[in-house]
Amino acid sequence: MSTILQVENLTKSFGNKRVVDDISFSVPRGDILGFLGPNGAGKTTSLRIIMGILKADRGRVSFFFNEQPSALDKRRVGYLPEEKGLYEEARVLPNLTYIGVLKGMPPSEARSRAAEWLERVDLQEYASQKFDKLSRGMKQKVQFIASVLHEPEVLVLDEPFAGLDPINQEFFLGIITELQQKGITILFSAHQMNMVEEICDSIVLINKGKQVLSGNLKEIKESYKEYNVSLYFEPGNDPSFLWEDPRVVVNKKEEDYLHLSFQGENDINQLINSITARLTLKEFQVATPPLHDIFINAVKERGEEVEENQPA
Amino acid sequence: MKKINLLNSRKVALWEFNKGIRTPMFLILTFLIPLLIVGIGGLEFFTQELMQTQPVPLAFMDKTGEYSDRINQQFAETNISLELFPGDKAELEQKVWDGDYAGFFIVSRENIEEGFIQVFTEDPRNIPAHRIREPLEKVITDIRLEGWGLTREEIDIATRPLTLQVQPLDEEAAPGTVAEFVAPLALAMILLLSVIFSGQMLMYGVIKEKRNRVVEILLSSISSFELLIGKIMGYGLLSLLQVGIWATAAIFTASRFIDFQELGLNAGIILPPLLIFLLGYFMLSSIFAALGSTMKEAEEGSQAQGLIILIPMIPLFLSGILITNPDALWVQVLTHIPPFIPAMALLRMAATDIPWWEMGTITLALILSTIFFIYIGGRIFSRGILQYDAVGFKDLKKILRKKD
Repeated sequence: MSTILQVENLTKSFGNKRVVDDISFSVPRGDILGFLGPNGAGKTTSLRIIMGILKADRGRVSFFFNEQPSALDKRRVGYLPEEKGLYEEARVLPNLTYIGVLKGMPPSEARSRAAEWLERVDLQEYASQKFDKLSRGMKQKVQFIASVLHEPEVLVLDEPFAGLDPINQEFFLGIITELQQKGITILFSAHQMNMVEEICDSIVLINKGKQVLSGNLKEIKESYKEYNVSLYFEPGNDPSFLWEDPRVVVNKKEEDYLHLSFQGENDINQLINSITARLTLKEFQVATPPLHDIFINAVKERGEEVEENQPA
Repeated sequence: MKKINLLNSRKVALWEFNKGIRTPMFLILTFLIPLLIVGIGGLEFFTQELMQTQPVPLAFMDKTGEYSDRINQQFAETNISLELFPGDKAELEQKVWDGDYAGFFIVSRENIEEGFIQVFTEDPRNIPAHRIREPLEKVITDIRLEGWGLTREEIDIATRPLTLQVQPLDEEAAPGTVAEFVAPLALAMILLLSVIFSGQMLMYGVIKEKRNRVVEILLSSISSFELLIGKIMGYGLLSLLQVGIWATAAIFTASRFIDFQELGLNAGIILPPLLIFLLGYFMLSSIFAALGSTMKEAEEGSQAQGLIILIPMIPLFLSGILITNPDALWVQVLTHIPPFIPAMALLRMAATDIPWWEMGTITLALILSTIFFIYIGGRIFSRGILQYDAVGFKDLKKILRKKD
C-alpha cells in the first residue's frame, strides 16, 4: 500500500521545553492511524505542524497526493482541532458553508453538502440555530462536519472523542470507519487508547514528545508474545499447578477467579489444554494485551515514566 | 513570506462584512449616530429659528433726546420689538420685573463716546446680545462719524466691510477652492472615525476568534496573512459603508444650506487624499489586528485601542500649528515618519499644495510602511493568535526575531 503522508524527524520546542522530539512515521493510503499517548505527550503540537499551523524547528512533513512528494494542500486535507469552536453568533449552516468555501468549494455546493451532513447526523432542524445555542455534543458533530464537508483525501482529527458521551463516541467511531471505507485516510489522536484500538490499522505511541512505538497494530500485538488470561472456575478446584509454570505471572487471585499474564508465542494452546483438563471452568477469556498495557510496558522498557496533564 | 492568495482573503472579507453588518454594535453606531447628529443639529437649528422669529420685547431710554427715531428705525427690520420709554429708570425696572419687557438699555452722550451700553434684565439668558449689538453699533458709529462732520457718503465709505481674497501669482491658476481644503480634512476625520470604529470591531473580532478557537479551523484552510488581509478588507468595507451612510446623511442635511457646486469638488481633488486614506487605513488596521492577536481579554483591547487611536489623533492635535506652517521642515519630516504619515499628509494637503515630488516620497513612504506594518502585523498575528494567554513583550521580541 502506498504512503500518503510521511513525517520525518519532527522536532519542536517551546522555550526550553522540547514538546516534540524527533518523531517519524508514515501513513499508508486508506489507513486509519492512531496517534496515541497521554495528555501532554505532544500530539496536538505534532498535528498542528502537520496541518501547517505551527512550524517545526526541525524535520519534514510530506504529502503524496499524486504519489509524488508535495507540500500540504490544505484543500485536500480536513482537520478537526482539539480546541473545538466555530463562530458562536453565526448560524450553523452559514458557519459550515463558510468553512467549505475556504476549503475551495463553491458556496452553493458547500451549503447543500452541509445540509446533507446535518441531516445525516440528525441536526437538520438546528441549521438556522446560532452555534452557541447548541449542546456540547451537537457542537462536536457540527465541527466534525466542518472537517469532512469538502471530502478531503486525508482527515486529521485531534482528540475527536474527548468529552463525548458513550453514545456519541460510538457514533463517531462508526462514521470514521465509514469514511475509511470511502477511501479517506484518517490520522487521529486520542488518549483513550483502549477505546480506539479496534478501529486503528496502525499506531504511533508517543510519550513526553518522544516516539515510543509505531507500526501496524496487528503486527505490534503479535510481536508482543504476551496474553492476558482470565478465568472463573468451580470453588474448590486447585489452580496451583499454574504457578509452577515460569511463563505465568499471576496478576489477581480469588477463590474462584484468576487473572494471569502468559508469555509464550506458540504455547498458548498448551496452557489452554492444561487449564481445561484440570479446572471446571465457568468463564474463560484469552486476549492479547490492550494497547494501554503495551504502551506502559514500552515506556518502562525505555526507562521512562508516563507523565500526563501537561499542555500538548 | 509565502505567496498570498487574495481570493482567500476576499472570501474572508465577504464573511466578515456579512457577519459584521448584522451585529447590533454596527447597526447602532451606523444609524444612531447620524440620527443623533441630525437630531441635535436639527434641534439647535429649530431652536435658533424659533429664537430668531420670536420677537424680544425691549425698551430704551434716550437721554440725548435726539436719536430715538434713528435707533427705532435701525431695529425696525429685526425681531427685537423696541420701544422708547418716556418714564424714569425705576419705573422701567419695575416693568421688567413685571414681565412687560425682557430688558432695557439707556443711551446717553457718555455711552456714545465711551462705546459702552448696558442692557438691564431679569434673566440674561433672555437677551440675544449679538442681535442687539449689531444695529446699535451701526447707529452709534454713524452718530460719532457725523459728529466729525462726515457726509452720508463718506460714512458709507468709511464703514464699508473688507473683503480679502487670496490670489495665486500665476494669473491662469484658479484660486483655491473650498473642496481643496475640505476634502483632505474630511478624509482625515473619516480616517480617525474608521480607525476608531472598524479598528475596534476588528480587534475585538480577533480576540473573540482567539478565545473561541475558531482560528485553528481557519488556519487549517488558509494562511494567517490571507486571514489578516481578509479581515482588514472586510472591516474596511464595513467602515466605508458606515462612513458612506454618515456622509450621505450629512450631505443630505447640508445640501439644504450649501450649494455643493460652489465647492469645486472633482476627481483630481478627491483621488490623492483618498489614496493616502486607503493606505493609511490598511496600515493602522494591521496594527489593530496584530494587537488583538496578542490579547487574551477584550478589556486589554480597549486600553490598547486608546493608544492606537492616538496615532491619527496626534497630528490632529497639532492641526492648528500644522495648518499655519504646512511647509515647515519638522512638518515635512513628520509627514514621512510612520505611523503618522496618513494623518499628517491629509492635514497638510488641506493646508497647502504639496509639490508633486514630495507627494511621491510621501506615497512611497506610506506604501513601504503599510507593507512593513502588514508584514509585522501578520507575523505577530500568526503566532499570537494561537497562544492561549496574552503575548508579552518577551514573546513579541521572539516572534519578531524568529526566522520563518
